[in-house]
Amino acid sequence: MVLLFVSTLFFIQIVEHDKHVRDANAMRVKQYELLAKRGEVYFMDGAENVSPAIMNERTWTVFVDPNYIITYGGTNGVLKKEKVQEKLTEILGDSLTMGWDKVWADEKNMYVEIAKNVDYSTVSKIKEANLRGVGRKETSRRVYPNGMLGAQLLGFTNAEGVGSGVEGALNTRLSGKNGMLKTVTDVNEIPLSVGDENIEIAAQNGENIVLTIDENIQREAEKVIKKAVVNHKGGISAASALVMEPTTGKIWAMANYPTYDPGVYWKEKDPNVYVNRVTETPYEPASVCKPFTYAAAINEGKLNPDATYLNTGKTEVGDRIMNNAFGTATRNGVITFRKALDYSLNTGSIEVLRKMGDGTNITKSARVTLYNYLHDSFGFGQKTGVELYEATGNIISPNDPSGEGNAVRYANMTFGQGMNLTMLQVAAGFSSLINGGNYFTPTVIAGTYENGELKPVEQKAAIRKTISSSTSTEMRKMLREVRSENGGSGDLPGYNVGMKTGTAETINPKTGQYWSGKTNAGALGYGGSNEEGALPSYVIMIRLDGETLLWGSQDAVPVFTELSNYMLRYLRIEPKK
Amino acid sequence: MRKHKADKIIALLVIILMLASLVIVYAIGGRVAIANNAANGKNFSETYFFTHHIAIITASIVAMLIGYKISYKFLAKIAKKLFWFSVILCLMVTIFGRLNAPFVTCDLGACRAFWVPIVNAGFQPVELLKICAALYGAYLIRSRKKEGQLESKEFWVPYATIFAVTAVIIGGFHKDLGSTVVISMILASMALVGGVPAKRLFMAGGVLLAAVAVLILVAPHRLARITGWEGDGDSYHLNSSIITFGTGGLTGLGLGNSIQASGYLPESLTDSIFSIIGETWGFIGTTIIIIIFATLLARILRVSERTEDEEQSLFAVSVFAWIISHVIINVGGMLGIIPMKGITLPFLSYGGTGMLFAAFAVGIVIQISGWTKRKEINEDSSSRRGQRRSRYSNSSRRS
Repeated sequence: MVLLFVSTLFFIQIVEHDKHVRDANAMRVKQYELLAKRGEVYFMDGAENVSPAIMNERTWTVFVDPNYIITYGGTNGVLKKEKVQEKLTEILGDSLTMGWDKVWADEKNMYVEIAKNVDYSTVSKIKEANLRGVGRKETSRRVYPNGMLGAQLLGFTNAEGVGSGVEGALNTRLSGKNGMLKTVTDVNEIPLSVGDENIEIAAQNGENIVLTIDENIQREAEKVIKKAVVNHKGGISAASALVMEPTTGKIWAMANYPTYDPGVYWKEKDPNVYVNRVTETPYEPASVCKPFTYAAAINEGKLNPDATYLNTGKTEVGDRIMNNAFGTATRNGVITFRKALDYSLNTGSIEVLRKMGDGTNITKSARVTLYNYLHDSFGFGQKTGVELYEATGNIISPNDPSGEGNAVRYANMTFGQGMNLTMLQVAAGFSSLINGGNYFTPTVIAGTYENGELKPVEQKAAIRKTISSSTSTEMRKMLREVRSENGGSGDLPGYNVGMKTGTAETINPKTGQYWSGKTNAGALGYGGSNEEGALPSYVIMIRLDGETLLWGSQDAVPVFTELSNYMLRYLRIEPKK
Repeated sequence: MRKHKADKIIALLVIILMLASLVIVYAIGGRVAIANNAANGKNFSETYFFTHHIAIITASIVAMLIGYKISYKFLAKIAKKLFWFSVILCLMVTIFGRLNAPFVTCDLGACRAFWVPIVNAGFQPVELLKICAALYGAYLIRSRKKEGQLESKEFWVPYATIFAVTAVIIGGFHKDLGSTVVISMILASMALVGGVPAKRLFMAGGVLLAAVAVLILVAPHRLARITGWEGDGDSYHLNSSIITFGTGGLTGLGLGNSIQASGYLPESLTDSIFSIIGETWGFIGTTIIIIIFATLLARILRVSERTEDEEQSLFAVSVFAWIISHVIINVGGMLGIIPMKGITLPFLSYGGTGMLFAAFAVGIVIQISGWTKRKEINEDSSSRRGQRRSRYSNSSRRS
């Protein structure tokens, strides 16, 4: 008997030792993912304070083990199943995501999630009910304390990490890196401190990101565009506004309407509202682009703004006759270029382009010069480099093999048609136009938030010179004159506000032709101190998409004015007569 | 027969086992408490099992001393009364258990222990019944043999009654097949050594088999145990036990490093403690334990051989049978050699009553060893090989 026991022990403990160690580890060593905490997102609230934009909330996923419940219900299996069902229905109510028939359908199934994002008080009731075969797993949910504020900008991610806005574009920085815990556990899967199999790699939490977006400006921008849409009673299908600091590239507001609630994004039926139109939807901005044509010519020494030309209300380009906008016939006659910009005459900007060539024709070299300014310097048709999802847009080179970069197109481009740009491309280029000629990469990231403190990112230097400082000064002067003709009376007194409107023809995507009864309205301008030589403090760009004929001066200017006056007050800029 | 030095080696071996047990319980008690609390909603402190075990071992050593000192003649005289007293206790456990009395503890429908509040521990009367059956059985054989009645019903009616009562109450009511087998082994071994004719023993064997069949019908969980052993591979307890031994290897994981005790191995402190020893101290540890048991059993058997008083000799045989059947059923079960019975390993398993009465019985055997025919070996003799016979002088025999 001693021999039998000892030989059996020898066989089990010595001969089969390795096999049993393997079997034991398979049963006892568990690998857990240590979940990294997703970074939070903050708005700025003024120049120094931050304000939460996206936070994490502890929630729970509730699941059942139908196999356990049905099997170990024993002879009372049916009763037990029904008891679990009754109790959970009572506690979870509408949170149940699955019909009970489906839950019990597969008796072999050991894991069925029946409710997600269950809050603490509800999950506590489940815990108290002490139902065997019912489990709960802690998860985390993104909450948006400001509701719909900045919805397209902030965006969301789904379970796969795919999403929109900051949540999507900065997902890598926000999500951090999950760690791993490999450990010997007891039978209840509680880690034990014994054994050689234990490995722990700590999770790296995601960064808490502070956006340059100022909560107050964002709120105001959303308010004014919403008001414009609502007041127009169906004439405006969508509206967007962009506010940024021209001397740094910091974006203060990106507003879109209609909008949605990112906290319950899955309830939204129209996915178009997820899109941040400021960066993702290129369009033809129209006359708001005229200042770029003027700036290019002035900077090239080809244009004296006080020089004159004969405005006949139309001009011939190639095989086309191009007209000024409807209602500008009173401006016909000899007129300075300065005035031509004030009244937004298309003939004026086409004439400017001719001046960049041989003075009478839209030569290739004129087109190349304009292209170099618009594309290379002002960044049209190029990604700006903002930390968000953005479209490239499209601007056709005069060297394009299709021959599309012809004189007709370039004549159109002088007043902002015939090219697809994002609002951000135009506003970032415009910032350099009025800030002394320095192009700053637009940014939405102010820094990170660590241990209750804002750690600002270093301000990046301008990446290129677009125009000379003197050209820029001239452009501010001209734009201020434009403004005085276009709603300048609405400005708070004692400030320097400059602006250009735009009324854009838009293409009907079905026909490829311009709509006859629909236009977009826009306004692009700056504002700031009236001090001699002071650089503007802000740039505002408004875009209203029309269901009917909209006019820049009539529809977009009041929106600009309201937001501009808000900015003058909000930034506490000193007025000066 | 003159009293001489008792066999202290027996006491030493038992105490070594007890100390090993204490060390193991110290090492895994906390882990078992945590697992138990989590699984069954209990509220054991991490030192609960260890402190209780110290108390149990202390009490057991006292019981061994009492066994050593108590008059065997007195025990023999009251053996019959004591037996029936323990039978009544066993019956009472069942009856009060059925009545849901708070002082009876039941597990899986089997009520086996009284809860003694003063010592905060359970008392299993079946352990008392084991020693009483041994004492009473030895008395019956010796007294009937003297009158030449071994083949008459004067002997086998009361002797069979001991067995029948055990089978019905312990096997049937307590659903404790392990203890039934142990008592059967005690009775059978004494009968065999005591000279009961083989015919009778075969009859008894037949009755035993029939009884086992009936018991399986009464409590079907036993069938599961046996089929599990037969190899449909579904016996979780056995699998865990083998893994526990297997992970120990040659030298073991070391004290306090048992993982299986954290809830993987059922009954880590009690029935499965030998597996934990295998995990903790490896093949070396288990082999040493087996050798200690073998030595202990050999010494007990030798006491029986050398005792002139037949009743005492038979009692020593019964203790031998008692311990060896516990060891074989427990170790054999844990190693998968025979079906698992749910029985403790003497002096190693945590658990009060079993250790208490086993220690008491061994105490009596040590007492008996002081009255053997030959003088006790002088253990510190440097060379005793070949001189054995000369050491036992004839003069020490009772004239």
